[in-house]
Amino acid sequence: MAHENVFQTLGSSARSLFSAEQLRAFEEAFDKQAAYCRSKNYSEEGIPMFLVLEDVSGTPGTTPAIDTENTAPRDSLFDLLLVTAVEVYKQQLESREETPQAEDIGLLLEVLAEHFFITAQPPKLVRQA
Amino acid sequence: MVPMDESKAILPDSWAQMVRSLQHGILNGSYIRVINYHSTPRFKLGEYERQLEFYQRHFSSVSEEDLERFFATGAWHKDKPGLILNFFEGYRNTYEFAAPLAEKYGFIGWFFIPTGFIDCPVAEQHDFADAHHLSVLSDDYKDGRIAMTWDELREMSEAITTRNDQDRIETAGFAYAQSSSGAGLVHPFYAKLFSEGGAPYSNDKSEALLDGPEATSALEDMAGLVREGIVDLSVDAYDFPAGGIAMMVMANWYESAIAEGLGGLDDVAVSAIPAGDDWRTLQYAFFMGVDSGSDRQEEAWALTRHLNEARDGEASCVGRMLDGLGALTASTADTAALPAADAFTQPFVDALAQDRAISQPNVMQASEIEGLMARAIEEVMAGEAEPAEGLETLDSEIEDILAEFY
Repeated sequence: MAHENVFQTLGSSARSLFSAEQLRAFEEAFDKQAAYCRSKNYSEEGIPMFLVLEDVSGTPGTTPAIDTENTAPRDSLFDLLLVTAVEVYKQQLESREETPQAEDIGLLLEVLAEHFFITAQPPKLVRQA
Repeated sequence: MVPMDESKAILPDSWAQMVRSLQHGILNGSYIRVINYHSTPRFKLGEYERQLEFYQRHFSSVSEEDLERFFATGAWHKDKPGLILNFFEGYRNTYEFAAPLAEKYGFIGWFFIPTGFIDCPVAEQHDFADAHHLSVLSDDYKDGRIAMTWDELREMSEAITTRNDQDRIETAGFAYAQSSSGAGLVHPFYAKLFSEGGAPYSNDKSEALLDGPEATSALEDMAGLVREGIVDLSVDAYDFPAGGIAMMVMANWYESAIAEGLGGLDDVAVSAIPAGDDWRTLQYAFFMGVDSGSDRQEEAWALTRHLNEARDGEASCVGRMLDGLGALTASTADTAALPAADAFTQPFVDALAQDRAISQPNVMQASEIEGLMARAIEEVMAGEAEPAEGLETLDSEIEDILAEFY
């Protein structure tokens, strides 16, 4: 399955776990979080963000070769959680009538970083050989 | 959802593509954490310290080398996740409060300095901040200065200078863009000398004035960068695009090389050599002439005119050549034909417009004299002579040459 479909399924599946009432509560929580992010005083507060590398190779969906020998152990489950959260947020933004704008990516990332900046329990993973 | 803004709207396909790209990056583990700070007022100091103490326990600092490796491999290599601390806009309170805290907790701070803010006179800094959407909500300072100073930036540049096992500078906080002619040191020396109110020669050119306090002060300042370990003469200007130099004194014609190396100039801020409110800079010019003894004078003048005359609304050959380098043309016809100065070149244009650019005095044996000056400055900067001592010798050598002509 192409990554696009996986992401779509992940997001839809995550949303399908909620009842309509719970989903509304979730969407309200997202809106509150977004409103909180927008209300931050940027001239006083440190703003958490993720810097994500973009694949500009022209082959989206492929996984670039990564030098696994010299990389840190990854918390793949945390990455999966982030990807799912992005998809859920994306679907929520797209469900609105307004056209998504470039700065919505910034807001999405800001909400994401506000929620998921640090793993709850630092993983104790063995470095891959 | 933010209010619709037609100018910033993106196509749904682009939006989807951006989100997908984001997801692919995350799925590949190709992401890193960032905290963006702007102003860091004093009353928040306790909160910042608690944050940094927390970050120290959970994250690793990110050096430029770490970041380059991350870009090259697409993956983070330290056990703790990387965390970049960004400090924008060059606020005085980021120098006074944030930088020491970052150092205390072992983090590299990434400071993005708009030099226009640093250059702004204290009395105008609040207006500058308002005009550029820089929020300054707390009033920490009674003297009104809210931007860093160049001296503070110089101190911070010392902190980022790193050396290898042979004590050679690997990453320079500061550098001079030297050239084989030595102009890379001589020209900044002229700029500092002019800013001190000095001049290299008496009006009638019979006397050199390099044994005076203005020249000594100018050279002391340059040599101080070496003494403080911020720069040495081994640093190559072409390391700048590679990220090996944070700040550099250079001529405007380095523009094309830097743009080529960096793939653009968006991340480069340009300012006059810092020298207080009365700063001056050197206006360096090329002259073309024809040998009075030549038997081809007419053809030579025709060629000179051909190269320098703008025709049919297009810039002259020399004008286009200079523009290609990033240098300025002295021809008003060329100026009219060429695109307006870009952000890189504008400070040089401003210096000319404000009468702050002073021409290099045109003396006989100028090339020989400049060579002597380069050697003397290099000796002082290499620690082989004290500034006053080196300049006294130089002054004497130049006067010997001047005596032959004036």
